[in-house]
Amino acid sequence: MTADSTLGLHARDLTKAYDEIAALDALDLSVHPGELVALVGSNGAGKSTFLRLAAGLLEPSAGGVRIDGYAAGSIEARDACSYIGDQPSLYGDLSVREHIEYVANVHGLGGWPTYADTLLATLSLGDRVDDLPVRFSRGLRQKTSLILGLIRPFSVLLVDEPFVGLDPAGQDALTEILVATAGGGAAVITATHQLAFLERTTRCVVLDDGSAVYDDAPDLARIAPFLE
Amino acid sequence: MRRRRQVEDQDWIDSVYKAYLAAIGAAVAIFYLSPLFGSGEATPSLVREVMDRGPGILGLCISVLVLIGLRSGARGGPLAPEPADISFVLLAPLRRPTALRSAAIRQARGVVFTGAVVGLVGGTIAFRRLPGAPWAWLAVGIGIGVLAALVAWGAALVASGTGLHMRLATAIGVVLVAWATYDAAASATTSPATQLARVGLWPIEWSAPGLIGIGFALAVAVLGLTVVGGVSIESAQRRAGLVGQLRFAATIQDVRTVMVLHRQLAQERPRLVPWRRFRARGSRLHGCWRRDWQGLARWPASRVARGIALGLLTGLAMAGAWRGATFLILAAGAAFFVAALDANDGLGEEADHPERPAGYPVPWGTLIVSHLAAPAMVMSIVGVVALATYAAFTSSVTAVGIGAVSIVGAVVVGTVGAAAMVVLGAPRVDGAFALGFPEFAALFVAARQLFPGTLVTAAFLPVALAGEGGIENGSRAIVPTFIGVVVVTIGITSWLRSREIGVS
Repeated sequence: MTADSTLGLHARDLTKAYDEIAALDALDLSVHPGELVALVGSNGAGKSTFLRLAAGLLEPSAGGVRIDGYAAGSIEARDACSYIGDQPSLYGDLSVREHIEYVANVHGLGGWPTYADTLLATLSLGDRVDDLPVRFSRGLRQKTSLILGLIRPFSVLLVDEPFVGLDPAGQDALTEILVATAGGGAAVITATHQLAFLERTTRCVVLDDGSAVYDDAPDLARIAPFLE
Repeated sequence: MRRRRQVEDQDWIDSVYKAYLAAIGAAVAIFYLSPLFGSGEATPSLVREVMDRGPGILGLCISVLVLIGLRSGARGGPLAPEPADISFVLLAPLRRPTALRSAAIRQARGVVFTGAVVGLVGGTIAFRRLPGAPWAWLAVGIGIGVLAALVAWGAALVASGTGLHMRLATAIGVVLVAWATYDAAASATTSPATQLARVGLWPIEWSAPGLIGIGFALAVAVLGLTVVGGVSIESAQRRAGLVGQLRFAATIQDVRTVMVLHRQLAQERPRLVPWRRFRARGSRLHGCWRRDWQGLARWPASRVARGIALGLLTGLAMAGAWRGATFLILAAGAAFFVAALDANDGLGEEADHPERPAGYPVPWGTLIVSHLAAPAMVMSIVGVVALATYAAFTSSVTAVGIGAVSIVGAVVVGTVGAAAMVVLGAPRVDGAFALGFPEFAALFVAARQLFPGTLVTAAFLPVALAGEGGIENGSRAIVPTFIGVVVVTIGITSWLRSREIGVS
């Protein structure tokens, strides 16, 4: 199997059970480069569990996920996949710029300052680069977390509830960034309750009790019944 | 009624358990501390020296306690009401002073008990050598212990109840310490702390200033209870959550979490403006070195001071061990290990936020090892402070040489030992040990928690052996100890390198 034939994210028979309760139930899902997929569903549907499994933060009970052909959680998959969690996870002792520098260094990335400045300006964080994000409000910490997820190289981007805590301008800016990222060739999967965002996606997957009950173009009229 | 009886029963059992632990602690302290003060009846010249210098030194200790109390109070201490008490009692239309005073009185019982135990140990050590009736020394020891604890606790209550600003609280405390330092240097009795300390000599010589000291201590405690209603709800709320978490972390013996929560409780925040800025550059693993220094450059002054103080304490304990008080290498090992835990903060941040390293294309073990260089450098600085302090109290060049080699070993094994502790996190006894006897699980937990600190202590063995059996003894121990340290360090580093990030 060559890496080229397996680019993007491929989940097969993916199951995650906590005791007797299945958070994900034999899910099959593929997301190809250039796709912007919205993962929707009510609370507890399994969206976050799926993203955490794909990021290698959880171990599947059965089945598996491959990122660009590599098992989720492996060094190669971690190199290819960027995960932005729903709760910003930030170091307590580094400023925004120091965070960016460290993440860029760990990924062996050169020439990051220019792109960092662009992201900082887009998300209106340019004047806070020397501040400690641990002292930020929820929205500003979320923006910092987004920048850290976007600054590093990746071919698959997993984003969990990225719009929570963002002001309207931030939400619009983030939407444009995600659209541009998919346009640039990355496979982007975003778990969200933001129905307005669906219009900008190329595909929508609805999860219900750990299973995909809808997987097609984002059509609000067809999706709405699953979210009631 | 049933609930009240249950609470009363719990209090009784709790008190008996505390007394049991205190009795063991006091017995151990007396056993190990007594040799430090020699044996046999003190000579008249020694008694005179104790009378001249004792109150000054004891007064200085009391004033330092008051300084700590004032600073704690300025941060909202010492009360830490339960979160539910804040929601349902302090926000209710009740008089806050009444509600808080009863909580303060409950806390005062524990303060008095602790002070009494410490005083009992002091009194027991004193009557073994100094003239005077044993019962008098015990009574005075307990009394001084209780009053010293009460004055520090009362100072904290006054500071929190009056909303004293941290700078003012620190300034008042520093003035008191400086005043007591003058008394100690001049063998005078002018500061309230020294006057209180004078009580400690009553079995030998009655002195009226002691009464002023007692009055001062009681007045501060009563004043604290009077102003307790002014405690800030914001501080109480912050402390309530943190103290609850801190107790839980201490119960499960999660050292890193205890350390982080204690910093939050002490409002020890990273500096907004670093001591020094680092320009952006670096390779993949060089990035860890730079990242750690960026974090270290934001250490607040209090943490820097703590590092230096721990270095001083290590050096003093080494000097004590060199002079024959062998058990002091335990203090040296403990102080140095605590400094190493602080120094491993960069790695600690990674361990606190596992989602971040889990997303890096670098094996967790490699990342851990990359985070060891900066703490090793910090520990070298702490080691230099320790060595300088130790050298100031030892006249022989060979002694300094033995100390230097011991410190090099302690730096190396302390850095990797503290890193291992950070990476291990809280002990888990739900594995193979859960099926065995609880005693084995407890032994396992104790061994696991004490192991890294014990290794650091072992690095100081040549100093202790030289103190006990002469320089030749210490010199002979250098090579085997150093080889042991190197072997253990290689072993721990290999183990750290093989770590994988935990997934669930």
